[in-house]
Amino acid sequence: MKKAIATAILTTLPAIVSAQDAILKVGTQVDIRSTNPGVDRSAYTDGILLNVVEGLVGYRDDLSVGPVLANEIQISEDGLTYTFPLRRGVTFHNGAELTADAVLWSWQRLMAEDTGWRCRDRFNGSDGINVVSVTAPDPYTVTYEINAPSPLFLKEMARFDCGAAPVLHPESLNSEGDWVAPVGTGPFMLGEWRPGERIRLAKFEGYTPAEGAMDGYTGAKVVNVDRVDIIVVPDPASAKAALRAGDIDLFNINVSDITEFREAGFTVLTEPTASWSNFLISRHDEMLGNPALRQALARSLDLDQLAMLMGEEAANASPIPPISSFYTEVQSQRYGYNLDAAKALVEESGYDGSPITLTTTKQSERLYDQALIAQSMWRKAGLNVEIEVMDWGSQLDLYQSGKYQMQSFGFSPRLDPALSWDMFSGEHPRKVWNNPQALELIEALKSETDTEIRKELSDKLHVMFLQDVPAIGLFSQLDVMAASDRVQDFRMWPGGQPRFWNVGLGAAE
Amino acid sequence: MWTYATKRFLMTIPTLLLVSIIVFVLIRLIPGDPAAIMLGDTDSDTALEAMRSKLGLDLPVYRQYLIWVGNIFRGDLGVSINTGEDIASALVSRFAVTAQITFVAVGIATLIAIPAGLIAAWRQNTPLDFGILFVSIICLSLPSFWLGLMMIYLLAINFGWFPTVGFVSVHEDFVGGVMYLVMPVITLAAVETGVLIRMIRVQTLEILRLDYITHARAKGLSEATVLMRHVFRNSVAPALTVIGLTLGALLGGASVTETVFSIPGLGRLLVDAIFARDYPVLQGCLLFVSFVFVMVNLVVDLLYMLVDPKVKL
Repeated sequence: MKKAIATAILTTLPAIVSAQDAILKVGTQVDIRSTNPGVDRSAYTDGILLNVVEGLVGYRDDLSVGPVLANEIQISEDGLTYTFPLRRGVTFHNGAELTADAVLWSWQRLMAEDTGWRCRDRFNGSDGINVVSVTAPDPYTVTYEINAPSPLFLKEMARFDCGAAPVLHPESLNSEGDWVAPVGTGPFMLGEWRPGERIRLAKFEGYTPAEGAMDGYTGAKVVNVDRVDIIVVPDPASAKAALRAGDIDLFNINVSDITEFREAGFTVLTEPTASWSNFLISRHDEMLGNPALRQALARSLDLDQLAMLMGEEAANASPIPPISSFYTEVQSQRYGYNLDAAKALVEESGYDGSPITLTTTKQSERLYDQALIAQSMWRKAGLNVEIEVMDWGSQLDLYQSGKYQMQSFGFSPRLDPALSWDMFSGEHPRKVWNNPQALELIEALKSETDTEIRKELSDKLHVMFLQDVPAIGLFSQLDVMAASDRVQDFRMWPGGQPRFWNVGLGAAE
Repeated sequence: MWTYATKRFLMTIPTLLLVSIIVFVLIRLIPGDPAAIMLGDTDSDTALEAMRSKLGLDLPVYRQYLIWVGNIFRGDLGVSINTGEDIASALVSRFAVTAQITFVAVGIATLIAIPAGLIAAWRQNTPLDFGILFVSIICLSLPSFWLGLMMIYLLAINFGWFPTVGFVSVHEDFVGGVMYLVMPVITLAAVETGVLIRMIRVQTLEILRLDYITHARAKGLSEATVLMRHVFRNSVAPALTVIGLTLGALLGGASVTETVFSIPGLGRLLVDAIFARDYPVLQGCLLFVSFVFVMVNLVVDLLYMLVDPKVKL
């Protein structure tokens, strides 16, 4: 109800625009979930709201973490104290100056149980780091103390799904403490949200850009448009038509549509991301518990061909994305595609031709297509894989319970190797890898701060991963956008989230 | 008539109660955990449990039902677990959009189909009859998503007459709003026109063969009088049932048309809620659609009395 009131207030704001307003029109198949970053969220919600709110730190293009609202990041020698001097002259959308008080208020709000911040557990010691104290030694400095050195602290702070631990003004809440709308420091203000219809972001005239070139969420953010209208277009065919008609300027397209859009004269922008496509193999299935059969499944897939048939994806068996500095020579190793060896493994496993069910969904073209292509490859090795199609909700239900044989799956970006390995490893039924040695290595990876040692740990995990085959890694996904000829300087990046600053609009040809 | 209408209206209460139970139970039989869908490929069990608790999904189903029904009696349909929208306001705003398209589309379809069906029957087996039949079959056979896309390509892209995507309410900008409604209305009207023409033609043919029509003609009445006085009212009455059912179904959401034209109507709300396992929205939508359906059919029954002199309520 309160959110509805907030929405109603937002939707009744007058849209005062002049005929000359430069409006960037972005099509999206999915709507945002809420205006409350890191609380009621989805991947798209994170991306849109990170144009409106900012945290102390953010990801750079190379997926390292840099300062955003902080001027710099100072780490004590013992690795327990992080000091963030704040950038001067930064104001919130309501005109109030950014001070350490606002940072403390925002942190306290995020860590309060009632707020429902998705990442609270990652900072209160129950599922990761324990932030012992947050203090303000002066009005423009904030200090965080953690209980033990961690390579993950800054990365967790910058996480998209955490809303980058957003620094908000207290006016984001009403007098009863309920969420109204984000009053942040980002280059755009949330002007209007009409669920199922559109989201409107207005240029924040009072924005003070940081120094340095645009680099992920860090660096200068200069707004060259007056407004961004994000229009919900659920049907991709209608979105294509809208792009042709000039009714939208930007739209995320499928990799399979790259050629069509290029031939139609659109600018097609591509960027490798940290999202990872794979086939999960349930550890609860008796037949698939056979190591030789798992190896056969992996070695009968020609990953290069599969990635090529999918579009322009980059084959990658490792959960570590090639854009990561942890993607070493070892991480680039694969299962070793060899059809004869795969057939021999099938025989060795004693496989009797019983159907193996691969669950997938048509709600994701990528998940469905990768299943179809792999099925034909498996047939050549004598593996009888049957595809079972269901809606995403039902598939996720099976994923959570582990009650399936194989799933065509994709993991959203994990921007640290510890998180990449952890996402499918553990004792929970949904986790496909519970090799005790691997779990020990992952725990070590979570606490080790030396980068070289971390690389070694991650490499060891990859060698074990290729041996055990708890999942078959396929490729790191490509993010693809089609843009009209009006759009200038829109840059994609490995983070995958849309950034509407530094984008210009020219006249259509 | 008023007694009948009141009785029918009161009968909606047990009907809706029954619908509420069926809807509530069936939704929960579908696999899929709303909390898991919201959180996606989360690694955190704590977050999942917290989300389930926040959404009230950790309570026994009967308690969830009692809380929901209790809230409905207080006029509170709850909030969407997907977007946090107030469901009652979402239903009203989405229904208003769907109703704009549906009423106009069904109205146009009726206005075209009644004379076309009558004329086709009256001129049975003539080129005019074949022509009307041909058009109606074409209309019937066109999938609405295909017709919608073709119209977008032809009218919006090639001629640039209408916007391809987006939506503006007619309350905010009448002319602009109408521009967004033209193509969806034509799409819906085309399909419904085909159905109605065939229905009215068949009905009229049966009536034209009845003795009292022969008798009327034998009396020397003009064809126009025979058609208008004796055939029209008797042919149209049964078609009202089809119009009522169509209207009810479309008011419940023309999801395909709404999706193709990016219209934020009831159908899209319902489909999105199904995929997101948004139980409160799904329950609210289905209950609302049932109510609309019952009401539309009540109105149709009452209209029978006006159109068909044989009917007394």
